[in-house]
Amino acid sequence: MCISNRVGPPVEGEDFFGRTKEIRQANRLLDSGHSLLLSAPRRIGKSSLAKRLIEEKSREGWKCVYIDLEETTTEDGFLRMVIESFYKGGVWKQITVGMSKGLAALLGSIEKVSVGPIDLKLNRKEEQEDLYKNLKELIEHDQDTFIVVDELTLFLGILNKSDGGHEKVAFILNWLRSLRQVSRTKVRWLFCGSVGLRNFTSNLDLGYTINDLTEFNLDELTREEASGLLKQLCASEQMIMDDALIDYTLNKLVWNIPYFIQIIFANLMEFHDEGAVITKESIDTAYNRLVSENYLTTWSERLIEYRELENPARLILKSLSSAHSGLSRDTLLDILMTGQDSSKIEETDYALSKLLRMLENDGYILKKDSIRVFRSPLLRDYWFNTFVQ
Amino acid sequence: MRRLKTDIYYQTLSFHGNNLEDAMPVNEEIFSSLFDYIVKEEPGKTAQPHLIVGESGSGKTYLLKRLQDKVGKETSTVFPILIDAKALFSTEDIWLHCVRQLELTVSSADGFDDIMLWQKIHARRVVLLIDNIQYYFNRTDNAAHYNLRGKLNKPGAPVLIATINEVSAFVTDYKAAFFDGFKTLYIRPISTDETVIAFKQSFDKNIFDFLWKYVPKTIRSLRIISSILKESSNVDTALTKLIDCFYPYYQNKYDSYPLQIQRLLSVLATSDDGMSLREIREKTKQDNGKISPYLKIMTDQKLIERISKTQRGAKYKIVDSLFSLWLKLNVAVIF
Repeated sequence: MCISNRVGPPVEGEDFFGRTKEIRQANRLLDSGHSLLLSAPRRIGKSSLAKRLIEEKSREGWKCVYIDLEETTTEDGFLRMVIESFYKGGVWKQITVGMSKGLAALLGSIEKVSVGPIDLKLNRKEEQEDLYKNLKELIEHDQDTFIVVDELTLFLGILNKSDGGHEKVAFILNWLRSLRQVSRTKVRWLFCGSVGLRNFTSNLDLGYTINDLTEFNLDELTREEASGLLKQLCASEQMIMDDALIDYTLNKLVWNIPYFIQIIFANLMEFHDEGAVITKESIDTAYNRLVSENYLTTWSERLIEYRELENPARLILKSLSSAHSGLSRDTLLDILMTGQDSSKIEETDYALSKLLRMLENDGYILKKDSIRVFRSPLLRDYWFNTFVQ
Repeated sequence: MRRLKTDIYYQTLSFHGNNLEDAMPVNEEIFSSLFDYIVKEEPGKTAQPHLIVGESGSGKTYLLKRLQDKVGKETSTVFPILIDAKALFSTEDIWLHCVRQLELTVSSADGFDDIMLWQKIHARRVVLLIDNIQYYFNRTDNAAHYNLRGKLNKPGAPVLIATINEVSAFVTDYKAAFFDGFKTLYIRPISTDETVIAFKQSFDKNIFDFLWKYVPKTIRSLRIISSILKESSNVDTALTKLIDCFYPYYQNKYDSYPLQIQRLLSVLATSDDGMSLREIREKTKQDNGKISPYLKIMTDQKLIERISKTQRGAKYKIVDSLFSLWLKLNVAVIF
């Protein structure tokens, strides 16, 4: 089997590799009626896994919908995307005899929304609430349906910053919850995103809106899968790497997420294209290129989502990138307290707890015994090269 | 530019009389943990340096004095030496200070070996209590810090317990000699529940609560307010007395600022909720170019803070509310 090295976008079809155990587990949960919350650090392959599940569920005859909210910034945009995606996925009911005129008219509008822009009439709060209520009634709940909502937290985070943001966020989360609470519904949901929905809702005292979701975790590839992925990539490009070199590469990466394997492979391809034989030295060179160029900038850029905690997050990551063996929580607290009035200790202590949880959830760092270290030496060395050296 | 602090430097009388044991119990948890550590530390081991961090008036000096007193009285294996780092200009000064306290004749280069020998002969370990260690750090270079750390890391070397007003890069910069080198203990602000420790007799809670809003939550503030409450029966008199305590300090502070900062302070003091750039512009009749750079300087100095954004932009507010009140009463511009 040939797979292509797609660095960045989610992989689909034959390019998807491994995750056998996770897919089996997710299928089992979905089949038994659970809706899932996929919590995993960024770049770990959440969207790819979600798309693979869609492929499998489609084959089983389920109606499937994939909603990517990454570029959605308004409530209006959210509604349009939901309406359009549900329309394309066949989630809406058909107009039937006995259906109220209002719902039938809405179905007509839905069709128009899906074709082009129309006014959704969201000027008044009551109109908005009516629309959401009617949309809920229009969903076909007795058909096996799988709806993936990607980057919900990212969208809600932006919405939260707008005027009346908290109210809007609460409304949407409660609406989504009400869709999952419909009696005997056969619609199952998967929410995934690079920013933790659990942290987000808990910070806004909205944790109850997602308490019905089953937590589903995704971590690095197993050693066997990581090795298999690298071998498949080599085979697809006729590149020769023996087991020792594959081990050397994976040992160097430590945290074997598909994205890191793909970017180091993309770099090794440059040697291969020049006709060079892959050696430990070429792997070192590829690694050094990764940590000194722009492959990992997204990890820095996305810290902006931490808002008021962005600067403290950068302070922590900067210090950890210098200290290979890691730092204790006490030392990190001291670092955040540098230059601060000591009366700020309690709020800084609280902020640190929150921040460490976020950085751990997002895959930047991990807790090893009582110390925090960068989860990936690749990311650590990139951070050191970019922000310290 | 020199960073000015916004907290209060007013020096009260010491927190205690002649008898330290009858003194006011403050920072008990830190005091007990340090005392236990000193007593239990094995003599031949490398000691863990401790750093007590607390704002001015939080009782750091007093804590060291109590430690010196209790350790001196209750342990025969430890010899406490208290040094105010204002008197230190080099690492050698630390050892020379110890040598003088131990009444030794210096035979080694800086006295350190003489101290180690004295410890061995007397089976006692020196505990160095260095107050305001920021003076030492600021006056000496990284090489001197490495020298000190190297000596302190020797098995059986003196134990260091120091105080500092705020954590500095000298202990948190990765390249600093003392990076990760201290166990840090923070003196937390006094909570409302704890304030009762200052009062042996009943007091007017309303007046207390009113004054307490204006001061740093430290033991020194508590002492000042408790003495004001003894003599005042209404809020206005009490507040006037509180401001009066700090009048010279605030006058000097105000006088030390350049004209434009004085102007902005006079304007900002007229609002209790802070002011937006637009409001400042309207009141000063100056343009953004004249105002913004100074607001930045004042924010960096922690003289003012930028409070959360509203629809009409961020607001700026004077951090020290008592200073703000002093400004309002003395120098605020009337519009």
